[in-house]
Amino acid sequence: MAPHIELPEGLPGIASAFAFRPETAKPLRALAEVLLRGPSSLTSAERETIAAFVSARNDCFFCYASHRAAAANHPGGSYELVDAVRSDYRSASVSPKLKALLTIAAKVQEGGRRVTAEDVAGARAEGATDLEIHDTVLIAAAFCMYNRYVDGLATYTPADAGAYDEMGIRMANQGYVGSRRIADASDEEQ
Amino acid sequence: MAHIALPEGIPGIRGPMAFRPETAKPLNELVDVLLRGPHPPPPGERELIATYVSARNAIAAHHF
Repeated sequence: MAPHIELPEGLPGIASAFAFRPETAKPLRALAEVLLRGPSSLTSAERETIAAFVSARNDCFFCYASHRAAAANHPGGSYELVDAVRSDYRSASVSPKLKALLTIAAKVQEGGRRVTAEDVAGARAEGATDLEIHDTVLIAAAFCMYNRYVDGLATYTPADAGAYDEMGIRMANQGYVGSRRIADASDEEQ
Repeated sequence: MAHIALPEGIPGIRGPMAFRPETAKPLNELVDVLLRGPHPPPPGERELIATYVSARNAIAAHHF
């Protein structure tokens, strides 16, 4: 399906929307960088897993596949782990703290008011700090935004799994703010 | 009461923004471009879209 508006060709998913509108791309990229790669007591693999988990629940294939690959390419992450979290995070081989944070993320994905004091107390009981709870809520909320942005414009979603491996390696190693490289690489190919 | 220890007396999103300036910065920049940037439609209409979506999210919450 063609995108709903005329987006730059040859760029997948959110990259095409970022190239179309650099003014909004800048803060959107900066937000992802702070949330997923900035200094934190949660690992980047854990934070990318939360992002992939929320994207799966929003049925955003592009965001799920790309952040799944990013999580897998960070230390401590793997494709199998993200898949296990997606299918049943409570039985996945992740820490009790991350499970409690995923419970909060799942509630935020349904609607902010679904988060209860018990959910938060449960995360604290597993050692989660206020900052970790804050960032979990914001990752979940931000990915609801990114997911709707990507799908609301019907951006190009590669079907080839290999494309996401490359994206994940780049997202994990180079991050979100210096990724003009995506556009540059695409220019070189043309 | 807020779920985490946010600065007191600050309403709504400004509480978490004061709690976490690192994420507040890009969020404020995004809102500034989207709602106040130099492009059509007029800022009043863009605020109306934001208000309309917020109202729909609030309504949905009551139906859960």
